[in-house]
Amino acid sequence: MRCSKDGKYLSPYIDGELGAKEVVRLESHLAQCDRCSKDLVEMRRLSGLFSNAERFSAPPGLRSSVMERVRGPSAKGFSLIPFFTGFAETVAVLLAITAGVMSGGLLINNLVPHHKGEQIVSSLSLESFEELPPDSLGRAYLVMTEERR
Amino acid sequence: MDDFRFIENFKKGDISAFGTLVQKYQDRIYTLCRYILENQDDANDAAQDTFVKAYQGLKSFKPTSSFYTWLYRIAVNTCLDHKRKYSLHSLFFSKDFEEHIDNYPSHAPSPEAAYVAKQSMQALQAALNSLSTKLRVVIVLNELEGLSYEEIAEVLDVSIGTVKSRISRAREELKKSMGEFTEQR
Repeated sequence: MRCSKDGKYLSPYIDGELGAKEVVRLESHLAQCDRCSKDLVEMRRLSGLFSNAERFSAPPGLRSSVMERVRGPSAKGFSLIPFFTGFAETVAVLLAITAGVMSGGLLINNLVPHHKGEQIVSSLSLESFEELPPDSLGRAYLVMTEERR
Repeated sequence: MDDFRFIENFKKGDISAFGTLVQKYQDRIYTLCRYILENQDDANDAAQDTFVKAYQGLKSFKPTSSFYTWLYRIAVNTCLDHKRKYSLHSLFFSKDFEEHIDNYPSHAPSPEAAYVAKQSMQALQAALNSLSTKLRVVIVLNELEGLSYEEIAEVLDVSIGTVKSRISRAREELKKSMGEFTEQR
């Protein structure tokens, strides 16, 4: 094997990514090549520096910020569904009220006989509190209660 | 519980299952975004966007690949979009790079070791930032996230040969930029 150009073999060698045959060939070359051996030492030193390099901790609020974002509407993207749901609810309530009013009107006009309707109206009028005849039972009762007072 | 069980529960309407996945991967995704985008505000935005996109796409996710490679793919694409979007902005409002690397923390035990470690970490960060985005993404996925060549190929939707060549080029360029920190004495 000739000298490893630009770390072509040395780099995968220190990463354990070189095939078995290539490892044998490289190691026999390293045994007789000072330049490649020196390169290998330097490359290992570089890797050693990386093993001491800091692994950062995520900022304390990262997880909660992410969860807040994914639970919020922005994570789902803009949607017209909530707008239409609210609109449909309002329309349904208005339709129910209108249907109630209309069916009530129909009930009074069509189902209840006209003369019975008049009786209902007259029963609610002040005429039902007209003075009772003097010889009636009701009149006698009223006289008795007034005397007690 | 494995990822697929959480995904199944999520598909059945359990949103908290998605929250568990966010909890599990948020540090790794944030770290990836941080190294690609160079600053914490952009990384935070990109990490959040990644998870929101994952939420939107999870119902149609098919378990032909692993969940995390799928998530990494979203994260890388989100970071690239972010970079494209803000590249014009950065021409006018570039951050002070020295200020950025001075904030790089060190966990070395003694002051001398801390100084050396901090120097080398700063140099590594500077070297990483000088790489093209393509090379930076592969080296971060490989060295920091520990993904195999096959997984990186899946994330980036490129061939394994392309991954191999990009990683080799990235290492060569980093070695040149790092100079004294990697050279044999």
